[in-house]
Amino acid sequence: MREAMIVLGMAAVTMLSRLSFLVLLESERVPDWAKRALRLVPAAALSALLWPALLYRQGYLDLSLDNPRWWAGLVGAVVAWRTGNVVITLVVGMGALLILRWMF
Amino acid sequence: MLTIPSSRRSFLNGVRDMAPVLVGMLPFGFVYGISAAGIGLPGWLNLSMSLSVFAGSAQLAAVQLLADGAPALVIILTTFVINLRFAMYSAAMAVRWPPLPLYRRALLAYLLTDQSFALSSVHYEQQPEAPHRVAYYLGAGLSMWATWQTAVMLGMLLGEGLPPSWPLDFAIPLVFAVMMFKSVADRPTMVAALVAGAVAVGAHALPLNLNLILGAVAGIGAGLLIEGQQHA
Repeated sequence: MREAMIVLGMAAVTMLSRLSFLVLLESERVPDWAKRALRLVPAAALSALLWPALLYRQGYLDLSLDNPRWWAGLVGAVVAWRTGNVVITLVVGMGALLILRWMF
Repeated sequence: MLTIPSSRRSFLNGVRDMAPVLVGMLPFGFVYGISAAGIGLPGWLNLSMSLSVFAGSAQLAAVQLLADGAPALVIILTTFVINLRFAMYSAAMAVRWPPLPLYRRALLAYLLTDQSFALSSVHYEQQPEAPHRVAYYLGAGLSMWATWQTAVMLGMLLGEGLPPSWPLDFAIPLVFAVMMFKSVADRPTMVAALVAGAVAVGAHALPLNLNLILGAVAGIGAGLLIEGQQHA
């Protein structure tokens, strides 16, 4: 089953990273350039995941009032930025989405 | 009189120090459980992903990508990129721990997360003479694991009961937003996030969700450039 293969693949690549230096005979230092690049991964990856999810609706860019996810997402993003709190962001963001969907 | 803590005490210290972090992890696990149930995959699959991968941001990304119908290779590659930082943690822990048989190292590796790494690193830094380092890490890592899996299961149970028309998957981008802003701490990370987001949005027409990887790579590249300029 396709999804089971995906899960296996995900588990394998994750354990690979986790075990990597624990199995190398000498724990080699991570080179500086790699450290710098790895430090930037979370910010880049999360951003790449976040914005298309808010802006696109079934494949096309939708910034109109018809796309409640975009506007609720903006609200959520501001709350996320200012509070850094997951629960508050979820409550406000989901609330905004539900209100917008109900209104339009 | 100096008492040397037992390994059991060190283990419990790990749990104790992890406790405040665990509370913050609950909503993440919850959101994963609820959204995974929401996209219609069987419960055993969602649970086995949480058990075998045990990495929150990768799990959330996978749920989002699965719902989008992304190809298997993209999901696995995205997971690999997101979780590459574990290799760094692996290196950091390897120099702190004594030699151990492979099966033990595999267990310790499995428990490696942002939280168990961060907590243990700080502990080893602040108390370098404290013994039973592995016991401490196990306390931190196991309590994290138990909490995460419990939150996931509760979320799944709740998610199964909620009506499918509810936009539960919207919780994932919201969680990503919180995590993204937290990860932006200086100019290079801010540039990385801005460029990655812009490229991922701009390249959205590309097939196979390539815009994701492209965006992440572009963001990292831009961030490295800015860093290079700062040091010049």
